[in-house]
Amino acid sequence: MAKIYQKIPGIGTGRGSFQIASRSRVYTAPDHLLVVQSTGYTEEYKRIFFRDIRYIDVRRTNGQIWLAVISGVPTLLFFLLYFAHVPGGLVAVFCFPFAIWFLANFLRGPTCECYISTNVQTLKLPAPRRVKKIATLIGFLRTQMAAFDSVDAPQPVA
Amino acid sequence: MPVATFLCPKCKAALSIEPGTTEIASTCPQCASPIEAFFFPAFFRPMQVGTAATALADHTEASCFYHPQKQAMRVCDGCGRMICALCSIDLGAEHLCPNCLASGKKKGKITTLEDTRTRYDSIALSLAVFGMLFYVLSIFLAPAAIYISIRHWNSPGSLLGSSKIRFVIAILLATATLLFWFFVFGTLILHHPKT
Repeated sequence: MAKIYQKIPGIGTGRGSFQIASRSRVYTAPDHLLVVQSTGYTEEYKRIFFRDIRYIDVRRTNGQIWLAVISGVPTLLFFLLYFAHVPGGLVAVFCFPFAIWFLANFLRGPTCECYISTNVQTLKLPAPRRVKKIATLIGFLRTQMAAFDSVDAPQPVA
Repeated sequence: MPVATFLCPKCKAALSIEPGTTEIASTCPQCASPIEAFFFPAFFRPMQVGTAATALADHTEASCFYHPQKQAMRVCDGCGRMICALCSIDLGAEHLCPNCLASGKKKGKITTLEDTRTRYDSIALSLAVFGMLFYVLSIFLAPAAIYISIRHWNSPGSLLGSSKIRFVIAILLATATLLFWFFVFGTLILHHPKT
């Protein structure tokens, strides 16, 4: 069977959620989005057809600040060990991963939550989780919708 | 085109959005919380209401299979019967009659209606792996892994695409585990001191 679902390039997968037992991802088909919530043993699907999407509401969150604190504090603490005459190599081993995490979080920009709305539901999308990636999703959706603009109106059968 | 209304996500205050607007990035006039939204054509379209079936104008027109007095508007993509606007149910790009929709859902033939699937391949693989990790339990878990692999070999996997590789690995691991137990018990029986 041919795979009809593809990942949307450039918006991330929605991995890294704080939910331990499940993870959500968003995929695309030619005419709809598929939000998959997986426990590993079961998968739940929610479909959102492109022609039904009314708006996407972006709500900024404090995730970047919290991640900066979580990664920045250990970086600083391990760096301070250097002044307590701990060998520089050892400090670097402990400090480096947190510093990379801190820097990556800074470069990826502010975090957000995306809500997609149709006439009958408003659904939180698992991705994108960074404001920088919103433009990619919106551009992708507008391109896909352009193909479905000319919806065929019912005509009498000859 | 009428002005559409957007509700502030926080306070639910109504904001008027001019037709043709593609995005807004401002603050709510009522609660002053930031609002960032992107609009699509469906936002400005009036809500779609069900179409009433049209009566036949004359006997030369095609009529609906279920409502002979109504004009046929489509051909059902499932059974090929002519159906009126009332009977036509849009399902993605497909148009189905109520009978095809009901039978398709019942038999699981319409994937668009499926909202959950069980990953039997993952279950079988997990049983086989857990059996190897907790070797005492493997006496029970290995046969269970083999049973599930065979029983659900043809069951539909993930909608995202799946292969049989997990089933194959599960069978191989479980078989290896069982062979180990046969070897252990065989050795014990053969070398058991005769009384």
